[in-house]
Amino acid sequence: MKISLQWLRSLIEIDLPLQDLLEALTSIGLEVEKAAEVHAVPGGLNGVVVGAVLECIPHPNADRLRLTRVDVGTGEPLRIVCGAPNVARGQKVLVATVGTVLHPTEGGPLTIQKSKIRGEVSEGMICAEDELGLGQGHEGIWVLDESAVPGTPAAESLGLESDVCIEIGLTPNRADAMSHYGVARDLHAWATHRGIRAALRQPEVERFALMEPSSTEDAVRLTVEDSVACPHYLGLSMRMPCAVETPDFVVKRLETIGIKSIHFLVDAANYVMHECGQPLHVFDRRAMSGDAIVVRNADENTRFVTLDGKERTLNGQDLIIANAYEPMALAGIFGGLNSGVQSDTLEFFIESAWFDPVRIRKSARRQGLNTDASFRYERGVDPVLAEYALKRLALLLNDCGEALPCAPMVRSGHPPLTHHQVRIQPERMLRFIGLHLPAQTLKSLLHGLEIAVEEQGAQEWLLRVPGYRVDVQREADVAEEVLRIYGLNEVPFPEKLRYNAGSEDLGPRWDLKRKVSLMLAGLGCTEIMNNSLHRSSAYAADAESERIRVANPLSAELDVMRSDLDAGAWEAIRRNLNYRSENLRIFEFGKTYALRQGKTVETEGLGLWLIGARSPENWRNASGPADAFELKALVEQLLQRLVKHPLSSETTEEALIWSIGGQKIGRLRPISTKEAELFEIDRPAFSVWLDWDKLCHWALNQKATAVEPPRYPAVRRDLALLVDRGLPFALLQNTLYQTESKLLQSVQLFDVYEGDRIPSDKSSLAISVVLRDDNTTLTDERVEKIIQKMLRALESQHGIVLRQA
Amino acid sequence: MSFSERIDRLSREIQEAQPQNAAEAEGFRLSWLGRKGAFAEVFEQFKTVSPEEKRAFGQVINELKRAAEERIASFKITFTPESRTNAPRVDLTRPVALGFGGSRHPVSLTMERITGIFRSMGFGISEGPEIEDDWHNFSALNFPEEHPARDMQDTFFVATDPMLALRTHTSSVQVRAMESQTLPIRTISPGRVFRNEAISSRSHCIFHQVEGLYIDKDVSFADLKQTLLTFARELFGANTEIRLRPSYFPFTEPSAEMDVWWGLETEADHRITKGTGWLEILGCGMLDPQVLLNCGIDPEVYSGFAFGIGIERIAMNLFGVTDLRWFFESDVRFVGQFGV
Repeated sequence: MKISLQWLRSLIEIDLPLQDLLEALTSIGLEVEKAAEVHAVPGGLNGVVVGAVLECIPHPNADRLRLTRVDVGTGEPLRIVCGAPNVARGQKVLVATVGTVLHPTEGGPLTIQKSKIRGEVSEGMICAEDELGLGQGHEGIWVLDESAVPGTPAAESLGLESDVCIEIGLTPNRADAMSHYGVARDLHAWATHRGIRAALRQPEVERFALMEPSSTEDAVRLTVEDSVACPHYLGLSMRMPCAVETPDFVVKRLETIGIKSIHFLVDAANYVMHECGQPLHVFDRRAMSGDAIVVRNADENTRFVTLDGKERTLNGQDLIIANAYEPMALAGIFGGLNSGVQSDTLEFFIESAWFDPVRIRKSARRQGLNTDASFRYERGVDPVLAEYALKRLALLLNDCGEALPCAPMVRSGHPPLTHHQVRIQPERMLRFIGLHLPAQTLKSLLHGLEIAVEEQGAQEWLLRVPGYRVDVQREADVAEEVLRIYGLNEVPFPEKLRYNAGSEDLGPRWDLKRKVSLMLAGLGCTEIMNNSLHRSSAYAADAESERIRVANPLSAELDVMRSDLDAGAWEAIRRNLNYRSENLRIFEFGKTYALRQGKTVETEGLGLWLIGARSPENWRNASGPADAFELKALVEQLLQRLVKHPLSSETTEEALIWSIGGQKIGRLRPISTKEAELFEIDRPAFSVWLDWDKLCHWALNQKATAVEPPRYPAVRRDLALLVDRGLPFALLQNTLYQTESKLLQSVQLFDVYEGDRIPSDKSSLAISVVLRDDNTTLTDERVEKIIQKMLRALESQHGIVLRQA
Repeated sequence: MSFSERIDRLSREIQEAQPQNAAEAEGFRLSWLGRKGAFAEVFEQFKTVSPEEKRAFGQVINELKRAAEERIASFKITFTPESRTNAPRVDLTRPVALGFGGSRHPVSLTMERITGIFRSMGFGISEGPEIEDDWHNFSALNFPEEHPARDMQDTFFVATDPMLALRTHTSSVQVRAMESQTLPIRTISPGRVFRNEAISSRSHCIFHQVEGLYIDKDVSFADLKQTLLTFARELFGANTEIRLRPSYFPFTEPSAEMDVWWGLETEADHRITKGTGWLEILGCGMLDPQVLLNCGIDPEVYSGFAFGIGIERIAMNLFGVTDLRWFFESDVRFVGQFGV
């Protein structure tokens, strides 16, 4: 909402510099988002001052130029070379001093510089009208009245003072401040509480009585069919002797708040609305066929052309203002093209009414309209304002256009309410705010807000709240009003911070996430965050039944909730590859979404992706592309540090599956051919997904119990085994553990050979076996026996034999 | 040369000695502390000093000796490795790389800092679904049927069920906490939220919030101020100043927005604080009595406050990020620069 400073100051007399005024507005909830000077002329004539010509002699080197000395109030007269024929000693003129930027009527801005003109110094310019951007006159310099005082800024001298457009971010609860007077009223409450002298100046309307005729000739018949939607309607027929121009002050003030002058009647109605907050509408009397005003619901499928020239279809929910036959306006929202004022309109009808906010809101939304009127009606117009506003407009039209009512005011219904009654317990309310205030202070604070204490009990007060405070209905609302005016920042900070132990807490889950993130970062992985919204085309079509689609997507690129983390990650990888970031280890904590049995299911997962080199290129590092084992090693390193419970794994066609305690907790797989094609990834890439809920379950529900370190050393034996190529190592390993469950501590694979020195269907695996007895030192004989037992088991179960040297 | 002159000269020599290798250092040691070294001579001379002077000179000699020993010790450190091994010198300036450098996401880091501060003030963490029903996202929070936030223009809805929306704030989690937790409740709800907004440098369809809630007997607006001041000072530094402005949210009454003083030094283009010097950080307020009622809490007995913080906005200011989109583009050159 835009407010003109000059206009505001005309409604409240307050001795407060602009900056303080702006801060005060923000502090009471009328947040100043911007305050911009609006110049009456471009540049505001900054730097241009009144000068007195002390001396005027011919230029020695030019016939048409004069040398002048001009007093501009600084004590040091300026030397100015002037080419105007009419310059003369003793004149009061306008001088653009050095540094001034002029905005001439024609051409671009012009900066005044100290210069030499034909050998004579010139320290400024004596201006003509057009040079100042004030019209076309260039017959000579502008000579001011004798009384002008040298040094006075030109804008002040010419009465062209700038206004300030204050932009306020109005919150929807502040219906009371949707006008200049509303803002002034709030500022007044603020000032009063602080002992700052301020006086409200609401334009009076008592004079209306003198103007209103008593005869009923020419009266319009008013019918309100839906008095729920329109409980109060007032109208006045008026006539003007001739068309007039909108007065200057109205044009300027409206211009400051960004409203173009259109027509005297429209401008005046706009002016009164922005002054007091009541939307007003003016109908051309000629459009009111049948001399009737009917407030009713539109017939279904009524075609209606609004002022913007757009044809709209109305239905039974749209409230309209009609003449005897057809709609003339969409009530409280927008006028019709057929009934608006014309350049030759001299007879007209003013409407001032109160409409149900919900009806207006629904109708405006249905029609996609948001007008100054609907904006106000939706939020709630002061229910007692209609009559005042009508009289104010009538008087303004009378003052500036000699308009007179043709008949007495017509009316239907009455204001929907005049005030609210609110009961408060002052002591409790102040405790709720955290303030100690004497009852008297509270009372005067309320008084400043025009809230009266009707009954003052020991515990409870009954308040009378004016109807324009639409949102003040309960004690908490009163607390807000008090707090606003008292000042949120004036409430003292308590000395102690309140604390309650033992809140329900998912903190440990967050701590775990942090630990995992830190470990992954330590392992060279970078965290990413992809959008939960994604395009359906990035996912396999077969899972469509589980897909969660957005009813109103921003675009086709964001039409579904992601059903896995991979699609987003492959896209991210593609993007990074484009930027030549080619060695990527990335991870994301994120939810995936599915529809199962009509319910939405959200699953939190940890995804990890790997592409590119296995280690940074460096003279000490082994080079080569990373493989699935790189990612496997990374994940197992992580998992084994998080969960003490043993981790097991098995392979399927496409993936390696990890389990803990028989529960699947994650998988590793290479990018599929389809994905590689879809996301244009032309090199090996791998993906891991871990079930975060399960991982949290295992990691957070375990207890670390210390184990006494064994006092006996372990024994290591290395074996070279000839193994069928297809045999999974896990099977071999299981056999070893089954054969010697007690003493076997670990099995490690430290070399793999496949080549022409062994049969082509075999692999040679070099493994180390570590054995330890916690109660005694293992003897060579015992170790040998165990190894033989293992070899027998390997041979009988898998046909594995020792490789002969 | 008198005794004291001699001491002065020796002291200078000790400080000025510059052996170039281990052999020279050893020579220095022998010339001072050796059997025929300088100190041996000094001690000889010391014997001739009068008994009255012995005490003073004794101290001077001891100090001199300690200085010499320190000097010799420093030569040892300088020259020992070379002198002990004959291996060729290793060039430790060669570049190395243990592995790739990992990094965390700025939004995660910011979220952690914020949740950490509130957890230290006794707030627990609660979470809830991102796909939320109308009650928890809107109705329980006093959003009237006609509120613009319920508009398709502001909120994403699930195609199969118009009563399900992608939550527009984590206040929905607070409703769940009020419905299920035992009083008093002191909780924060971090998480992802969704708004139907075009993606630009200043707005996005996803972002993250941390919302806080405290309900107990006699919780006041002053308590809210205290909590938020503590938060602001923990996050932005001990001298941070805050300012509250009245505002409006359907679920709080009174409502306010909090700014922190950011200053005008960084405000050449008025981008961060619109030229006011105050940076908007969060929205807050006292829980509306109707919201308490909606969640089965008696507003005659309990009161409480709530606040909501946009993580990305804070992260942008903490890290000087000028475009919101960077957070969700997963460009490792961006997300990889924030360390851990």
